[in-house]
Amino acid sequence: MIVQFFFTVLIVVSLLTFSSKAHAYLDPGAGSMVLQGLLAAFFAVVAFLGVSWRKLKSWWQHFITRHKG
Amino acid sequence: MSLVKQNEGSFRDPANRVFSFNRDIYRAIFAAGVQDYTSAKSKGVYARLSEAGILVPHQEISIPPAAPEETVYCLRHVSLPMVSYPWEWSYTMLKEAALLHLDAMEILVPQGFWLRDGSALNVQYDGKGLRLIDTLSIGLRKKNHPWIAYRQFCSHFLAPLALAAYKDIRTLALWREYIDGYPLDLAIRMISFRKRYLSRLFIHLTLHARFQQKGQGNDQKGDYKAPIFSDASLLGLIRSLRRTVSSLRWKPHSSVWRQYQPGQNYGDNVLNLKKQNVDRIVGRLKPATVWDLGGNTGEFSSIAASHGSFVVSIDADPACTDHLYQRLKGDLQGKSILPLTMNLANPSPALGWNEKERYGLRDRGPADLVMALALVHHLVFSHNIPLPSIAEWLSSIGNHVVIEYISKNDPMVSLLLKARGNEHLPYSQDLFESSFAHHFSLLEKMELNSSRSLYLYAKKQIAYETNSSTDH
Repeated sequence: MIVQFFFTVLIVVSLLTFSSKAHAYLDPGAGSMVLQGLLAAFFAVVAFLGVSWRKLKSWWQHFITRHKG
Repeated sequence: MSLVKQNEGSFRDPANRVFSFNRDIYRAIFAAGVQDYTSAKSKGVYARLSEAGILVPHQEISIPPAAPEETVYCLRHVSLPMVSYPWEWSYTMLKEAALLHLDAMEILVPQGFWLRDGSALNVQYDGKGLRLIDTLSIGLRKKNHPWIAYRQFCSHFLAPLALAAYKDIRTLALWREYIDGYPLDLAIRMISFRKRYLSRLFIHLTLHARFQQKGQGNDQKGDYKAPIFSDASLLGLIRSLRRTVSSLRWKPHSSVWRQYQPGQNYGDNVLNLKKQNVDRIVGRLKPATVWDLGGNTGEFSSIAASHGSFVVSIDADPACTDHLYQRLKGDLQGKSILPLTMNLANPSPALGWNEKERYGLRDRGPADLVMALALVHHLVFSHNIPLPSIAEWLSSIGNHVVIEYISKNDPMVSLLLKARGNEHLPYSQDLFESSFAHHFSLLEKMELNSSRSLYLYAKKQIAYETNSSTDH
């Protein structure tokens, strides 16, 4: 949550300094790439925490079953 | 008679094209798609996704004469009993289609592949579950590149689901205008401040919409370069999208089906008699496809499906269709029922380029059997559609019709008329029978009680080459 908040503030500040233009010949997909690039580190942390959580959960379940048995 | 027909919805992709020949579905792969196809084939990606129930299976065949000249490989797919579109789907079906994409990505990314599209139009119900149908949307991942389908995924899934869950389920009708996905800036304008900034939607919708505008600015300067995005980041993005999609839940507030208990309204005897007759008729006709118009929560669709038919249950109430869709995972498991939300007074039109890209309801028929139970009086009294016009329409979408006529004396019809006043289009049993006699031959007439009758009609001059199976 703290990480998310940090990135949020960072991005909001960067956005406020920017003026946007709409143009029929331009691909809106480029903005999606920029957003992903800015959040790359954040998403990597999300993935790391996800994997760690799964490992921890599986270890805990294994631990409980072993001690019950 | 053999007939080659190019699928009008597949012309955009230079890598492949879908066509039908003798009612089988084929995919012609062109030079632009060869590298993706051969790489995925050699690594067993297609087999793995098909085994997991994510992707429709295919068989590589030698190139038939009907294939386009530039074909390098040709695949044959199993044909779908009925193609459907997100503007007709129930909420849960759209949500599951989103999760299906994420399931595929979780399998593909570690193997060096990804989905090149995040399109709801690439998902279909095949009678058992949802499947990705676009084999060539699986491509080699561009190393360290952000997900190229991220914007499309958010436009096709996140925006419609968020609007339906947080604003109003009826916003799903926006699909008919935005068949390439909802504009993200429009979506965030319709969502409350709290949901826009203080929910999981913040990154994927709110910031995303702002960055689309920012990206346009960069393009204009000509200095755009794709940022580095590792596999770990991509898997994190998929995880984040999964959590966001999973957190969206639509709860129907009030709905007809909650109050509507058929047996309570016109007696269990009549209901049972109707069920027995429908059961007998479907058992006798053994239709491959049944369209249950005004299907409610699927009481009669379920009876038809128990005979092995593929049933499309159409109702205007999104709560009914969603309830039915969820029942397919519970008490109706194993039955082939596709619930679609549609106002029958305004059925799905043909949409997209040249009005041929996406089929209208009529283009997907005729069904072998159309069921219109307790429907006609609603069309006449609530939507002012004349009886002769209803008969003509039904003859254009069904080869057989089992239809219920309910007289004005029936308590439910009286209630409807009381609310709407007594001025209405002509409505009588004589007019009903004469209207249908223009287009149909009467096979059976059954009296359910003094005010309700059930008719079984066969269309006059039934087309022998039915077109109940549809393309991808």
